[in-house]
Amino acid sequence: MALPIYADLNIPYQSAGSIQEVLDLCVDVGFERVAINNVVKNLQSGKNKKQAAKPQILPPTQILLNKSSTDALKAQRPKFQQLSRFTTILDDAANTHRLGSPEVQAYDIIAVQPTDEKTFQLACSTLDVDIICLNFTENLGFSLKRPLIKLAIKRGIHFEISYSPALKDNSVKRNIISNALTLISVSRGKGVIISSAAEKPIDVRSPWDVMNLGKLFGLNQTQAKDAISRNCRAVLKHAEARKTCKTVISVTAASNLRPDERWILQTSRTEAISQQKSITQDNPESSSEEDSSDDSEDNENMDSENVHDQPERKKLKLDVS
Amino acid sequence: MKCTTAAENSNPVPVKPTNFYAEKTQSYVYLKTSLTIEDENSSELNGNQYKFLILQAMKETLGQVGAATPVDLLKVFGDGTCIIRVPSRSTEKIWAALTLYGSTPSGKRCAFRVIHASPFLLGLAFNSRNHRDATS
Repeated sequence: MALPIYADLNIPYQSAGSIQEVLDLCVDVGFERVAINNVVKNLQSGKNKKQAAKPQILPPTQILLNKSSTDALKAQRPKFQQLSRFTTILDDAANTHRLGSPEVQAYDIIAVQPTDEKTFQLACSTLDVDIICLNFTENLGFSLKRPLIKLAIKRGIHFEISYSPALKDNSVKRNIISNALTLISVSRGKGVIISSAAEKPIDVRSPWDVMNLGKLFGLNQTQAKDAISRNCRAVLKHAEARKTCKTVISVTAASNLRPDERWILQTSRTEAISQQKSITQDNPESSSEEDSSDDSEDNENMDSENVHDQPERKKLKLDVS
Repeated sequence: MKCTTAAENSNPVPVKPTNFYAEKTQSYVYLKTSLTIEDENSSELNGNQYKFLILQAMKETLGQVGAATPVDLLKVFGDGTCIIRVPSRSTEKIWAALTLYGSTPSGKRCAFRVIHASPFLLGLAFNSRNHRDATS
């Protein structure tokens, strides 16, 4: 059985240096999938549109670490993966249409933080998001109702509990534990993810510590493990499905294939080659030397990193609006 | 603790894998814990300081009653790790109390991280968390 991939889907975005420190420790203690979280508090400008301009949203490439630093982390954990996450605070039910804009949709994961009952209902029932995170550091001010949460879970949305604020203040700790207990008793342990929200390396705890913390919140052993492994994977799958609509087949560019998916190219190429050969056998006039030389070049390129640089390979791209 | 072997007969040729299993739940759990304190060298910590911080952590999250659970500090290693023994019934709570302990009484940020937990002291000799997939 494959080992679970532990994920921490909330590392707040800061300067590259400090985020590097946090990620180093995350990888060190056992996390393999990490999402860097860009929190934009106000998605829409206020009522005085002249005064406040629309807040700028950084593209995900800017908040992610560059390739040289991720390669260093990959040397430690080969399956290491960094993701981008966008979080906004919902304080008005009317301010949601910008969630569908391309600069927000460019992020891997989209999360919202409802602040009152109205926005919570909206997020659970209609909004197209992956994660609902609630401000557990203080009294929520509204009750979490079973039907709404059930609906959200049915739609594949997960609820997030962040533990690192609990490390700083005792009253905050009490609030987080009590709110988490409520959420888990209402959701019956399903559809919950636990993340760190660690701004400093000292706030990061190991996956096994987090699992034990989940048990304190009222999850059982399996649910606690799922909260940092399987449910996080489900969030990613949900995010992927959000981008491609309902689908059984999706077409991606050959350059976007992960190294462990390259076999698809390999098999499709060998099929193509065998087809080509059968054609050349049929037509002995066509030059077979060119084909063979091309093949050897291609195979060399296949092993190296830049598969997408080959001009011969046909790139397919499907834009799903 | 019971040990089932293949056979205790005379012909030693077929060696079957042996299974060890505990017949009852053990009364204690051993936790190997590391303590990191910000801007401080944790290798200089002695046993008394360690025990004090563990008790502080328990008091903060579990209160006076929770802190009354007997916790034994068995060994302090030089690199800031130690082995503590806790009653298995309250392992979960004490572990969570350690996890949620964020700053020392002097105001410095600190972090307890449990490296390994086992009901047997011998289990701490090897850490299965470092296992990696053979495929990767």
